[in-house]
Amino acid sequence: MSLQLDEARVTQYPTHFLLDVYERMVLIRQFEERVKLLFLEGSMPGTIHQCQGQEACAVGVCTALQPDDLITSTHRPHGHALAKGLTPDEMMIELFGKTGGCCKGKGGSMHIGNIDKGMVPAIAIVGGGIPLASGMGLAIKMQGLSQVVACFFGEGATNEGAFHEGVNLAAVWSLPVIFICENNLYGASTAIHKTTRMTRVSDRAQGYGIRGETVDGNDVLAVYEATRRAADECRQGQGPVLLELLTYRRTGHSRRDPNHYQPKDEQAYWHERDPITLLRNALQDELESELSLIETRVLARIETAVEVARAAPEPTPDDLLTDVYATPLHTP
Amino acid sequence: MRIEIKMPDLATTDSEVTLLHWLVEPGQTVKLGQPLLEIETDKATMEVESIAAGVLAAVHAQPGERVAVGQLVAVIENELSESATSVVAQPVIAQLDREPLASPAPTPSPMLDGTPRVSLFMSNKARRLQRENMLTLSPIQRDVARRVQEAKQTIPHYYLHTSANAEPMAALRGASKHKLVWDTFFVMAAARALRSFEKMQFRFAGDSLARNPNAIGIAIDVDDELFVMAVDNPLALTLEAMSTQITDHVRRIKHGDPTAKRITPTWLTISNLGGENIESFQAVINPPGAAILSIGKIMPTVVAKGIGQIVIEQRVQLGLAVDHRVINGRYAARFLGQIVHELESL
Repeated sequence: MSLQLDEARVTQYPTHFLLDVYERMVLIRQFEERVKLLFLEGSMPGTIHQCQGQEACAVGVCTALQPDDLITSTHRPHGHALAKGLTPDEMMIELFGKTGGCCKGKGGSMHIGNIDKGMVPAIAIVGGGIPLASGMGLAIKMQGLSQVVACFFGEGATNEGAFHEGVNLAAVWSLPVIFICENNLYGASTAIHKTTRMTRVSDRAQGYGIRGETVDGNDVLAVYEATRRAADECRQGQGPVLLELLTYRRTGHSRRDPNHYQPKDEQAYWHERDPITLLRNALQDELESELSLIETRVLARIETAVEVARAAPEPTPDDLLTDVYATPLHTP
Repeated sequence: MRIEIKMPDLATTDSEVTLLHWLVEPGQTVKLGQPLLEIETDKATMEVESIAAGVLAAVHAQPGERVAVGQLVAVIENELSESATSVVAQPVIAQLDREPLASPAPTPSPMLDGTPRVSLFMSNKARRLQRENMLTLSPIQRDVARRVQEAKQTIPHYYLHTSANAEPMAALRGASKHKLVWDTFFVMAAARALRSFEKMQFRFAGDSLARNPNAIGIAIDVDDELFVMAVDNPLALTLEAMSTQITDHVRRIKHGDPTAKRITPTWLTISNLGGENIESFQAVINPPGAAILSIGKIMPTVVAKGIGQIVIEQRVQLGLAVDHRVINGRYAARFLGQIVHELESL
């Protein structure tokens, strides 16, 4: 894969589009960095799974979707959520487990989502979102709607039974689902070649009679274009599609994982291909001040989110039973 | 301002981590995100990044110490006036020229019936008192505790007891150039006996028996931590080579070589307390081996040889604890008898 983006491809996009994509990626990176500090500081409860290095996947895919298209996410959902339009405020409050969060503080990091913005609360079970995405695709098809579902999962999930069942059913019924495998080479700490001979995940599409495509997942524009093609096919009844996005995680699997298993030279290669750096280098020099302003704006926005989250009220015992039952057993 | 650095929650199942060493010394400047110290959790060693930029003013925990999550480990001082974390944001907010945020003070949520809030967690004082009356187990000690408890609870042990004439091995040892380690003789005798008692090589596996790897384990206590070294394929070694291998292995454990500390499956384990003046004892089986041989002190013993004849000879007491699911008593008795025979004909 190349160490710079294709210049001809970059120049065909309007500047405001490129800047918007850039800002979303920086927003994800800085959000994750800030959350890391909050975790180390001890004010962020639980563990967290971060996506530094994989921003182009989330942003490329979600930018290609319509606002009412749906996504499912994983235990590593912050990037997907920010890319789908969730605000840093509603997410940060959720991570603090407070009432104003997008899931009223009951979801936390691994179940973040906002159905009004097209993101089903993230499903942390590896591969768990795949059959659900097919179910959502079936609902869309039966109602004659034109939405698509983008279903995110990692390459580790492709060895789960849920992957086979979900993809096969979506294929048989031609459901409007884009299966998006973010292949970051490691399922937790295990390298992909230790868990499957099919190290090119898109080849698995043949086994289901659907189209598969491998894309440079650190090239946000390549991801955007591949998702646009896949979404168009799905809307025309030619789905599902399996997209494999080749990318790399710059952090451990979780905050408690020092990722010693990633070889140093491999890390160096992928750091040189950092998705944000790739796009920044491809943008014209005269945008320099604009890019700095974006970075500044993002930092300030995240800092605001942290302050809002710290000040947000804690849930009370009264909140325990809300949203637990479809019909409350009793109203206080 | 003064920023307290507390131990982040980086262990997987523990509430404590071990501080290995500081990567920055007091007085040195630290950048935001710079690795500050290295720790060992229950799963891995890792670096802890600094949550603030400034000068490392003081450290409150030393290498080797067990540190609880949330415990104060260091203090960083810098010239910023706000909270530690606004190191990121302070300059950029100024640059954007926006109003400072008027963040409302957090209001504690009242309890339902207006009773005062009671913490769900232990008070600091109670925690300190509790800690003062505790000895912390090392990860290895905890692992051994778990293994012996599981072995004793799940393996139906029974125990055999006999003794052997130790004079042949004492003679052999006296004649060797570098004094052979005593364990060498017992490993060799057990290995020879195992040739004709094949069933002793197996472990219980539900409705069948499974063969263990060809090796004999030796229990080794280093600074109150228990390890089992495996002598692989012992019959391929000379007594001298085996003795050297044992000495080397103990030295590697003492020097902290992690590969030497690894416990691997064996046919049988040998536990020797003869050096501690114990005459005889029985040990807990070390799975997956089906038996453990315990060795007492070699000492002059009065022996009645037939009617009317008493001799005094060097003898050693042997114990054998056996997994009844694998081996019945008579078979194990013959096996122990064979060990005695091998020891006496070394």
